[in-house]
Amino acid sequence: MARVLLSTLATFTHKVSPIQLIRTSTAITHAPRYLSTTRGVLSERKYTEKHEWVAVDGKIGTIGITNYAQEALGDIVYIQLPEVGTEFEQMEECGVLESVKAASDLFTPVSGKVTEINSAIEDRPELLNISCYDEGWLFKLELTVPSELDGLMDEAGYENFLQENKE
Amino acid sequence: MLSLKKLSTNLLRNCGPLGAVSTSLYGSTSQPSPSRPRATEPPKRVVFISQSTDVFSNLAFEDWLYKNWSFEKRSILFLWRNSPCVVIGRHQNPLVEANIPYLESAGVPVARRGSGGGAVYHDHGNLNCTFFTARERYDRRQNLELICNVLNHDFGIQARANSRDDIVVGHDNKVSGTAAKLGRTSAYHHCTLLVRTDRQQLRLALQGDKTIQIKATHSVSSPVANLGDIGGKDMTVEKLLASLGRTYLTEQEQDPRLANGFTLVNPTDDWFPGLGKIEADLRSGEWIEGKTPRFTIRRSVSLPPCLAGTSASANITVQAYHGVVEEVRLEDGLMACEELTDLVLDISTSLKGTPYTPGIFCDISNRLRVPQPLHTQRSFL
Repeated sequence: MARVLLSTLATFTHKVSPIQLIRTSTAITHAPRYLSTTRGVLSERKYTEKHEWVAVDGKIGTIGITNYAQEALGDIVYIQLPEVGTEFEQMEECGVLESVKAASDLFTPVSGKVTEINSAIEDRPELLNISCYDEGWLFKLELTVPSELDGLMDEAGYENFLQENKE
Repeated sequence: MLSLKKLSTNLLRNCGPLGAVSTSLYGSTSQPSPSRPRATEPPKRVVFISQSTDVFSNLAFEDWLYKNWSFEKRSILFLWRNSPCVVIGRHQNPLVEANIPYLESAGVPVARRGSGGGAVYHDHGNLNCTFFTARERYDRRQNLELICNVLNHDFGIQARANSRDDIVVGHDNKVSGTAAKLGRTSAYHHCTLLVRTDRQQLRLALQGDKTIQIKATHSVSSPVANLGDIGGKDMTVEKLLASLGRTYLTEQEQDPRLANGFTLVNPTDDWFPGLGKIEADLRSGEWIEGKTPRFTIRRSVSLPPCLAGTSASANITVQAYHGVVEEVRLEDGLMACEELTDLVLDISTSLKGTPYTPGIFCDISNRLRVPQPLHTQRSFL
């Protein structure tokens, strides 16, 4: 019985968020929270090799940075987001994240026009460290070239990419 | 004192040939030999020394390299110093970090850099080091260790990097502050080194207006020391520059004759096409004031008798974002008379969108003395 439970749990966690398996101990405790991020309206997240993610609902893409990226950056102290209405091309510089004396340029993983910014993280940048896939989203944009999504990695692909680069 | 030119000639004798600028700048000598696999080839190291002491030119050169060069095959140590100036971090407020009235009267510029971190004062007694690498090779602890090793071995100064990546001596007296900029493929880490900086000027220059409320990056003020006071007369900016450059080059290449020499650079648009535009942007109000994060500032403004109710003055708060006024509001509005509340609302509407200047409270005070027609009309209704 216990064995069955354990294996169910393993599949469950894997399905929900394989990314979180990097921090195995926290992945299971936090699983329900990450469940809520994929609540049907948003498609599966797509990832870049530079650790940004995008989740699309219709024509609107929500952009954030991955758990790997937020851990590498450390405590975020200030976030400069793009202005609503600005248009960006894929991989264009669109903001700055400042963490412990380092200013990191922020790039958009897909082309589009900014429709909304997460004003909550402007006031509380630490949300990016606490919840990078949920409350710590950065901005939303209306996709101008949706086919760009095909060039990005899915969760399994991104997890493999992280593993390969670890070695 | 050695001039930079003389210094580099001296170094040539010790460190090998100075790469002719035309070839070394565009990297024909830094290609890895095809017979060796690229992965095992460490990037070639190059030392640049700026011939300018203008903060905007030097910051523009940093940004130019960061934006235009690839650091896959070469790493750069850029050594530079400036005439007196204050340099604030990417997300800081010049009014909070720098003593603007004093600096303006003394003709000392305030510059905003692209990297994070806090405000610093520069003068000729301060040496700046910028380590450029590929993003994946960015390692500021390693750079700080190199500097500490040079201080220990060449000058007998026991220095260490603390948890904030500041280099400290003795009882946690700071001699160096660190900041970094990380991009998609490139990164740089730069730090200051106080050798013979005028500490009195440093203290005065960094006395900003701390009554301003900010949600931006805070500077952490620390007691500072000069390396020159510890290392004796041998500890000069010129000697430190030479030691750092030599160690940086020979650390990797054991045979100093094979190491590249130092390259003197002139950070101008002629040498580096496009640099002039970057420099103009760095000098512009759009960058220096325009990149200031949201802040609020509250002042007590005296009221004309016709508006003064229970109090002869009112607390007015101005909120600004990116150097532009967003809102003017009356604090403790419940205590104020209706005329005052309405008048402040009118003032807020007319000042919204205008550039913030410290003189704004004078302006507000004046406007409170001249009731607007709109306001008079409204009170009749």
